[in-house]
Amino acid sequence: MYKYLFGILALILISACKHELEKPSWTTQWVAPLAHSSLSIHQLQQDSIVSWDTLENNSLQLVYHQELFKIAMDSLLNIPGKSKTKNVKLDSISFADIQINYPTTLGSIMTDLGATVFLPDGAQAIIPPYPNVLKDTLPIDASVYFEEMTLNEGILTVSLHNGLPSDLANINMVLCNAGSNSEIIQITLPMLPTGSTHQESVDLTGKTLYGELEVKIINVDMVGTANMVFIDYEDALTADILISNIVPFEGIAIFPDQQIFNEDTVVAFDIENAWLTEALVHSGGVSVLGTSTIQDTIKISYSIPSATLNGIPFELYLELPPAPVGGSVSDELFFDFSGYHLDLTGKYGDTVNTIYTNSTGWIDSSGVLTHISLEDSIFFTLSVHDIKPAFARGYMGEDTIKGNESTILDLFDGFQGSFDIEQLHVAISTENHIGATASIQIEEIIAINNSQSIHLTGTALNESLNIDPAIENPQSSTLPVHPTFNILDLNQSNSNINELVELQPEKINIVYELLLNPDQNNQEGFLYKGYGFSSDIEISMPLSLIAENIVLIDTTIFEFNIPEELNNSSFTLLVENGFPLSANLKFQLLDENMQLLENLDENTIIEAASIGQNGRVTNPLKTEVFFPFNNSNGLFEHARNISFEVTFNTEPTDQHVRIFSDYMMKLTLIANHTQNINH
Amino acid sequence: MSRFIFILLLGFQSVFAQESIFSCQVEMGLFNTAFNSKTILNNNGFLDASHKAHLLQQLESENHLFFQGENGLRYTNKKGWNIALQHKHVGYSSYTKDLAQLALYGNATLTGENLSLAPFNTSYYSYSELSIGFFFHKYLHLTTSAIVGHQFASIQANTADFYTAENGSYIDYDLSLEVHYTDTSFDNIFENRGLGAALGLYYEQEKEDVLIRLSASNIGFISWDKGCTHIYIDTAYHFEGIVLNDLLNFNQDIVENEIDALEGQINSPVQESYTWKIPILLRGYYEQKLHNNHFTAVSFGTEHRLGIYPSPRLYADLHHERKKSHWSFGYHFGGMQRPGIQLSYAVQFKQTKFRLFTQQANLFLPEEIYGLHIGIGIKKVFLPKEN
Repeated sequence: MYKYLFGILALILISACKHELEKPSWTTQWVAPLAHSSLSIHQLQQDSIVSWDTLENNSLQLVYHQELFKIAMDSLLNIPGKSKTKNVKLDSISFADIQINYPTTLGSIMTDLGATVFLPDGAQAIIPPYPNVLKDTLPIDASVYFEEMTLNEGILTVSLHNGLPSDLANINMVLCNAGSNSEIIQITLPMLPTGSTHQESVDLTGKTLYGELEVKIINVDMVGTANMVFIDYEDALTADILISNIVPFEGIAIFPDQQIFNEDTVVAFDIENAWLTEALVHSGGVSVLGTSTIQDTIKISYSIPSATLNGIPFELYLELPPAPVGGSVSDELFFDFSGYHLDLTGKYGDTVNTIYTNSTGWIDSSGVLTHISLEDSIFFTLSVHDIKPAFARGYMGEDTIKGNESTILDLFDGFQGSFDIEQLHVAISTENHIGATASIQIEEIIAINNSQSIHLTGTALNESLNIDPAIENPQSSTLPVHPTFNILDLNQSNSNINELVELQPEKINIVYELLLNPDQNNQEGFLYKGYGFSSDIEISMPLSLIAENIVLIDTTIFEFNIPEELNNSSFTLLVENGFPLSANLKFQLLDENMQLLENLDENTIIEAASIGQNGRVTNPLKTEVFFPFNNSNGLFEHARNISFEVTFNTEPTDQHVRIFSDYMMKLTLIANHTQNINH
Repeated sequence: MSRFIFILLLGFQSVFAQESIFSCQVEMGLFNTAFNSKTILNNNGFLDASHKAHLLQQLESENHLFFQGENGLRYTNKKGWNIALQHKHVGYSSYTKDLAQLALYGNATLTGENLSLAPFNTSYYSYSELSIGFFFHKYLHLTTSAIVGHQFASIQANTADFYTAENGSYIDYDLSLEVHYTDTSFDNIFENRGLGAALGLYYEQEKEDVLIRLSASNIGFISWDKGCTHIYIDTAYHFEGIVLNDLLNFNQDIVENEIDALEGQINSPVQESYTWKIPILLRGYYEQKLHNNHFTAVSFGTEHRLGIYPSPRLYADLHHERKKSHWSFGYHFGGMQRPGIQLSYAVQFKQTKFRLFTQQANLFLPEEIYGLHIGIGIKKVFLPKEN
């Protein structure tokens, strides 16, 4: 049905039309702000080297600040590395007494004699004489204590106690190492009455004992009894063997725990000139190297009581495992000393640049048989590695520093032309961040640009400048020092500084001599890492100037995707100039190699605002700058950089113009676009 | 599909019809209140300055466009109940002269002028409805409809103020805008993007020589489904361009950040269901028979679509009835149309009646043609079979 209706409608339309209906099209013109900005003199502060002081009536003083040199005096703080080696030989080996008890019972004697029938255990009987009742070689086992031991000192004591009911006579016995005929001790005794004890000792110096000993009983006669006695087979002849006061020269034994050394060591650092009493370690460390030939575990405890971290003294612990037979074992440990506080006044607080240490070493018994000799030794080396303090206190010593510094001045970068400064003030300020007196003599200042250089002349450099010690500010973790300073003023009366500035120097050379503690006062001071001396130049000039063709040039990256619709647009720059400066704008599109692609416009002048009778601009001047834009050839797609060149001139041209802080230039960029509408 | 419906309705009539009516009506119109056909047809393609000035001269402070397309099949039983299937498209737009001026010229020539672009609204909707009606009183007839929504789009700007400063140094705008739209593709009448219901209430009384008709229809809603997109903008902005704190570091990132900031003022589109009230259609009609006159009757009517028409459409017709035909012509004003002449012609054959009508009968006066409208109706009466 719709088809028929449309047909009828179309018929009506066709019958009524003079022309065929065409798609309408028309052009529209659009205008829109793209960007706006305002420029005041303060925005130049983004450069950070230039600041502005607002003087009376908002008039401005340009202040340019640049560091000339900076000396960190960290070298004063360096505590050079130092090593101390200790060689400890075993001066003694302690060893516990050895006691062995060896009983021979009546029961065993009667059994050997075959007399148990006649003299049974528990009977009352008369014991007849028995010659040579004991004749034997008996093993004495001391191997649980030692395997072999050569003694520097030692006493062997043998006690014979006759616990038998009969006297014994003609006792002859020998104690010797098993399998050896050389006696250690021989006991010859004509009579040992019942219930009595005989004791005999021998000096063991220089003798070697084995863990397996023998007692050779050559003869023992039983005298017998006259009367009836009680036969108790548990009664015995007892031999007590005691080895005492043992001082081995060497041996294979189970040695007990024993301290080998315990001593204090003083470490005095060679710090040039400075007398430090205190330091906080920023970096550095301590290492300990230990070497041992002892075939047992050696433990070394090392402490530095004068080095503390959070109040806890520094301690390290080194454990050396048993050395192999005929060899040695070594180990090394490093400890970071960062953050440690050092008391450098020694053990008794009466010296400087010194720490003391305590070391203790001992054998930790392993419980197994090991060989130890007085020939064994322990070496340990304590090394303090280049300690760099974050802070130090004490007398900083005397020092002389000569310097020749060259400093780039970018105050005049991008400026071309000339200007005349009404009043100029230059100050060179030297700051002291150390707790020590100083003096600086600036010997020479030279301003240099491409074509020429000018030396500073006049009386300004005649005297040296003394600087008091800085003041410590321990409450602050970020600014621990309040610096002191002294200023060298340079003005037109004491120098030719005007000539140096008007040269628009690219750099300044300064020659100086700095003395630390020139008065050798020996007063305690301080020094923080990274702190030292610095010197800055400050150029101040009231902004009252004549500017003639001063050119500011800058190039910035240009990366924009220009929509195709804007290919035939134009732009208007609205400028509301509140400065008494005229500006001539030039924009250039450059490719990635900084080659010129297009001059966007030339000689577009923004007129200067006029100055009223009060010397100030009262009405900003509006200028409208039109920029045609044609990107039909894709020019902007190839542009990678855009160069701005602004040439300033003060108006009127023949008189000084003051610049005020509330002067401002407002800029608005407006796009003008013609859009074709096609349906 | 329409064939299926047609067969269905025929089926109804074959079962129930004794003296029943089957009717079909198609109506289509396109109107605007600003430009006449002469202005439009004189278009050579490109609108130059004089043409644009001429267009602007014809604009009122508030202007309207309206499109209407409706077709329907209806079966009416002799007992009075009826069933109908209708398909409706309606599109309309209201815009201010300022908006047209901005579109024709751009803002460059309008700097320093406060432009009021609101009220601005544009809507389009189409839906199909199946309705059943019955008399519940001697004069009162009620219809209930089940609706399948097909397409919907609506832009309503309550506030749209626009100002461009001299030289274009800044732009101010204040915009309060609400947008809703569904997918606008359309395949068939069963394509469902929303469901709804509606009521219609009709009053008709014929007494002696007077016929009175009153109706309120399309009283209902469509709940568009979750695919419906909504955008809400309520912002006032003063745009001076991108703020550059560092002139020498102006780069693409700064531009993109500024664009992001502008876009940030537009709330992100939300997709969720939306219940929309169908514009209610109110109609009134009064007809007085005339005797002993060339004209057999005179009638007066009004029609108002709430929320669309700025004012009710009023009309008056003179009727001339002959043996097998009926003519009427009249004059209308109000609604979404310029005042104009309307015509209607009906011819009756035995059991069938054809009707052709238009609300834009100024066909041969191009300067008075502000739209096109045509409607065709066919009515078939099924008489009771004689036994």
